[in-house]
Amino acid sequence: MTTDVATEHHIAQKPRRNILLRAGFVRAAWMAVLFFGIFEGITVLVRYLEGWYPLWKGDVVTTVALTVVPLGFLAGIGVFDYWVSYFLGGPTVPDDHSSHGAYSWKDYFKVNTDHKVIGVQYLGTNLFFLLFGGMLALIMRAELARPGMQVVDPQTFNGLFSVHAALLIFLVIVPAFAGLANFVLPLMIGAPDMAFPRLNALSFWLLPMGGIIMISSLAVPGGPFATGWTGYAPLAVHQPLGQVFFNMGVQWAGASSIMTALNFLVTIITMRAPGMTFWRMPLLVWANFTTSLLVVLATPFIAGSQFFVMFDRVLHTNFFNVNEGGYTLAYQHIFWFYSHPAVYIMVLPGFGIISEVISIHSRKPIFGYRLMAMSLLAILVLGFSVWAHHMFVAGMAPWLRVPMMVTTLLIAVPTGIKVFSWLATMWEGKLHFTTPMLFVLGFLSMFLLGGLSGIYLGSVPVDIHASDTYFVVAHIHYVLFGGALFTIFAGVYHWFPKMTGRMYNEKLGKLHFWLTFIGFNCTFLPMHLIGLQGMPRRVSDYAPQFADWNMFISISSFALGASTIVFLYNVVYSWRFGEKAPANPWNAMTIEWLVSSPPPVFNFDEIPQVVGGPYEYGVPGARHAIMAPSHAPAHEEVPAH
Amino acid sequence: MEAHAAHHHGPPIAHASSKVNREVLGMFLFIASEVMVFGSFFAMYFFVRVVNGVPWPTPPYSLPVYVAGINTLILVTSSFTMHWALTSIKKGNRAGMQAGLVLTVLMGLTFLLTQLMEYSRIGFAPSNGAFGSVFYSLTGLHGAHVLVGLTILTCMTIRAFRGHFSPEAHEGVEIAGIYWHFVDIMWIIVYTTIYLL
Repeated sequence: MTTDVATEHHIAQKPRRNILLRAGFVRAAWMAVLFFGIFEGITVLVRYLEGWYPLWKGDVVTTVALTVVPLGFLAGIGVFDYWVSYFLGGPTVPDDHSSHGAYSWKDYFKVNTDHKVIGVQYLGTNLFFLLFGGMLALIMRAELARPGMQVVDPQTFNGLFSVHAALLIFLVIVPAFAGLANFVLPLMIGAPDMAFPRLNALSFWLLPMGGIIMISSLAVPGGPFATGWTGYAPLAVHQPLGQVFFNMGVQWAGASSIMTALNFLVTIITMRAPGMTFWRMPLLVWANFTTSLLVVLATPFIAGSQFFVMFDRVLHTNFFNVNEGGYTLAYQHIFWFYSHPAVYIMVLPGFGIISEVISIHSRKPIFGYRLMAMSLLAILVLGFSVWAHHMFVAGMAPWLRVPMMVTTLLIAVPTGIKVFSWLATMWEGKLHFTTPMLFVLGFLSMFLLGGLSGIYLGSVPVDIHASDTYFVVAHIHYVLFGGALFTIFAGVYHWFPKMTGRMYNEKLGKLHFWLTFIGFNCTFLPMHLIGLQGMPRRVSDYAPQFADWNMFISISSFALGASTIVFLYNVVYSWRFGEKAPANPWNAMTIEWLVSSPPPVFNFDEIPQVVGGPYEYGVPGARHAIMAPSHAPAHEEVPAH
Repeated sequence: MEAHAAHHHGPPIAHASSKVNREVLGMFLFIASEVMVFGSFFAMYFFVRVVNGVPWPTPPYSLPVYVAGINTLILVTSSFTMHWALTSIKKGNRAGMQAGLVLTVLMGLTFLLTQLMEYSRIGFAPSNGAFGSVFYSLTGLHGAHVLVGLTILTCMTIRAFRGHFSPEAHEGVEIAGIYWHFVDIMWIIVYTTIYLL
């Protein structure tokens, strides 16, 4: 498994007395300052020797700072400790699991290599950024409630929607799936942990770096980055300093994403329980397998696009300078070559959650299991061939339009397979309308609407009319909020008993669903209408004819925001005082439900043996996995043979 | 989450569902990701040189094809010494491994220093037209990878001299070697597209 001399001895994690040297926030603070000092010093020295004035230049200083300060922080918090000792010739030690498990809330603020703790760390981080990003949206809606300027000025407004979108995409939707999968995926495939536990810890800690960088752009002179989450060049090259915070923040979040994906892939390929063939894997595992392939292959392209903008700003390159032979559209091509596959990164793991929840809460096997897995792979392949449909009006080569339209509409085929399979799974099933199931049904209807408006936008003639209008805003929120975020809520409710060992409050859960569902539709449905009537997106002021609808949307958006309070209260209250959860409250077959709630520190005493498919609900005598005897919870209902 | 009281001392050993070594698979996936980073830079090269038709090299500048050619030979040779280091330790020849690693690091350093010398004497900067931008970004991106590869190899050399690695357990050398070969092959592509074509 691991390299040489594994047996030499364990690195005993003796906590050093001195708080300055012990891994933690104190060391992180001084190391961040130290790294800042050293590397800014080197930068100034180099500039002095080369005769580049001014020595202290905003873009350069910021780029260096946003590279080395997070590195210093990470080194201080202790994620690199083992690798440093290894690289200096220390013994090879497989993760000794001494940090596994969380025994108080403080343990969630430490470096931990336990996939279950990391999963919760992810979700907590995502929740924070969800609330923060949501608040920014509410400030925008306050401004848009009436025509004219009331709350903020146009540049600040541009900053608000940019930071809102960047946070919600890079810090909430993408990593929340990584968080959920971190918790349940190793359990589902019968693995004691992820393949690279230390890398897993690093991946998590990279994420808040990206988020804090993006948030701190709100405080810099010139305001936050204001180019939208797409950060198009050459606009981005000429924006105030805040833009650098986007360029660098994306790099940190992207690196986190790539490392997690790599970890998932290796875990799924090499650590499945005996008997767990690829065709017996739960669809959540399939979904994360596909998504991880997308992340590993596509995310480097957004890194590339941000490097080019950063080079143009810092090194004075000419990538987007037409007078010097640059090619401005290159940014959009490279950016969307990541960011279109990224929309599948933002929804495929959700498809996996939907498959789990629908099958379990309808008491039916998944309809067309193999086709469900194959359609994921089809989306993966097709996803790489559609990026230019974001550029129909950007002035790209006209011959690219029709092929991109055709491939775009083709994606409706594998997606349609999935939607119809879900419907067929529910057909004549015994539906339990629990909160996760409600969110799944909400997802199915909302994602269908989002998909339908996607067909309009994917067609060149309609897109030319609807481009950059509120129709696009409605579309993206129907697929990312009504789609992806609903699946995340479904997943959080579904696995809440497993993660916390407590049941959530079903009444509050249902209240949360209905408030969210109604608030969501009141907020975003009218946007289709005013969009088609010509209200442009990304504006802080608009024509008076749209005033009534905008007032309605703003009021609804505040109701939608308020619905989150119910969710927060439910999570916090139930985690502390909720009813104790049984091991298998949903009477499910997949392995994560066959261990206790919460799972034991090391997941299993012995690796379970997989003997059948994961969704054989209603099939007499069917089993998915057999646990070692000490694990079978006493009240487990074993179907009669 | 209150963790259950553990009545045993560690996790069970994961079932090996694939014959592939985890670390090797991880490195290959990482390289796939790296290839895509280079892919985005080559996309920019394509847009500037092919789509925009920027003259290559843009007069009055020229590229030191022969110096870079010799540099290429040095880097390619270092791949062979790397392979020698690996085959040596597989046979239990520690001295061979140590010599191979040291030679590889020295040749990598030579390559990097030659590249820096080239930068200082080439006569144009990243700001001299899109040609200069693409030249510096692609060779610079590759140079950064050489630096990372050298860092890893230096650490493996330290480990080799401190008595680690054996014919049975030498993944450290093997995986560092895989990365080094990737850096090497990538340079051949960069050299061909930037200097030769």
